[in-house]
Amino acid sequence: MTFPTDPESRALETVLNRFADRVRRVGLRHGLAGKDVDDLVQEVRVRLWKALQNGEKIEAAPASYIYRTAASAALDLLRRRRARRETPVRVSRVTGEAILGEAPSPEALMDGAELAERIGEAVGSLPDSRRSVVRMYLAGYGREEIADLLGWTEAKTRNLLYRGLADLRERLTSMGIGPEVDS
Amino acid sequence: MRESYDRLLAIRGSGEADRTSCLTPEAMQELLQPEISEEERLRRVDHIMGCPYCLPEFELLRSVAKAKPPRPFPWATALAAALTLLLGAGLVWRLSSPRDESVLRGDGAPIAMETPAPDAKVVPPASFVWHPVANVLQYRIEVLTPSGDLVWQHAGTDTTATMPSDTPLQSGADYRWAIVAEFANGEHIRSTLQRFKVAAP
Repeated sequence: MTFPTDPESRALETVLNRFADRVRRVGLRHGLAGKDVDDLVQEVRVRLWKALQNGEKIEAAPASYIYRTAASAALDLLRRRRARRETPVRVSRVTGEAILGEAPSPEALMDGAELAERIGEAVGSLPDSRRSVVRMYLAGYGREEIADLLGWTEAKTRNLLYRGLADLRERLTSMGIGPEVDS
Repeated sequence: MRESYDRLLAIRGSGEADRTSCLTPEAMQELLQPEISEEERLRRVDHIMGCPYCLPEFELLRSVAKAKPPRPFPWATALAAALTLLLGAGLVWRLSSPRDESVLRGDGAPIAMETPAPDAKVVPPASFVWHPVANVLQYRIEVLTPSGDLVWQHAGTDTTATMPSDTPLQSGADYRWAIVAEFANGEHIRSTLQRFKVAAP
């Protein structure tokens, strides 16, 4: 087994591994694909390599510099993918499989597809403030994350989320879809 | 219900992508700042959370923003110094103990690269050898120029690869190579970047 011995590569890989671990930990819960993190890390690797020529500088670079570089690299990565018309991939939180970017089997589409569409319709009919919060909840976001992104207090988030879910249940019931226990 | 919503997004994403009403990456990134009005914030969130294409893009941007470590408190710096001392002592003990290859595999380098050795001088055409990774679908090798540009890449199932002899390499220049192991579920792991020098043919 061999490891890179030159200080530039070692310093760069140390910084990048630390960065990639943190991004993966945050993104894993919401279906961020491993390939996205890999592509981003490669983009950041090249930028840091060009900007910081020796290992000492790379190790001494403040975290804020690394994350500013990463934020700008992520934007560029998305722009390039859109220009190439690449379809983003999201990993299912339920099965752990990639659910976008490739067509599900016909059987999988048939099974529960109608229910999914009806839920989509019901969510779409909710009032604005409740609709967004319910969509976030259904997409897997927790109350704290919802409050953080919307700039709301925990109490306001809880209130609107519960009201929104109650509205959703009411609409689904009126569509003939029975109540369900949320997981 | 969340499972059904996942399915809904999968259905919406299975056809041809129509992104005419999608947010720009910049508009998504602005959501991570506090300056946007609540009305605008709700409008953007509503689109992203119902869009199979914007949602994974937003998650990438959000994960980068959220991964930034918080500023340490002063007491945390002192605690970190104490922990560093402890870790240093542990490291000295660990390095003085005998170790085997299986322990090294988990040490931040999931793919073992065999040849060329770090900083080795290579006479073109360069050949690369690495150790197999369990359950891999295929390997991708990347060779980067001194300025970080990709000069050659190759995908295959072998754990060896040889650069075509007409690949433009500068004698005496440094290059880096890396291996990406790709799995059937779409996940990847990447080796460290390793340097080699090109010798005169």
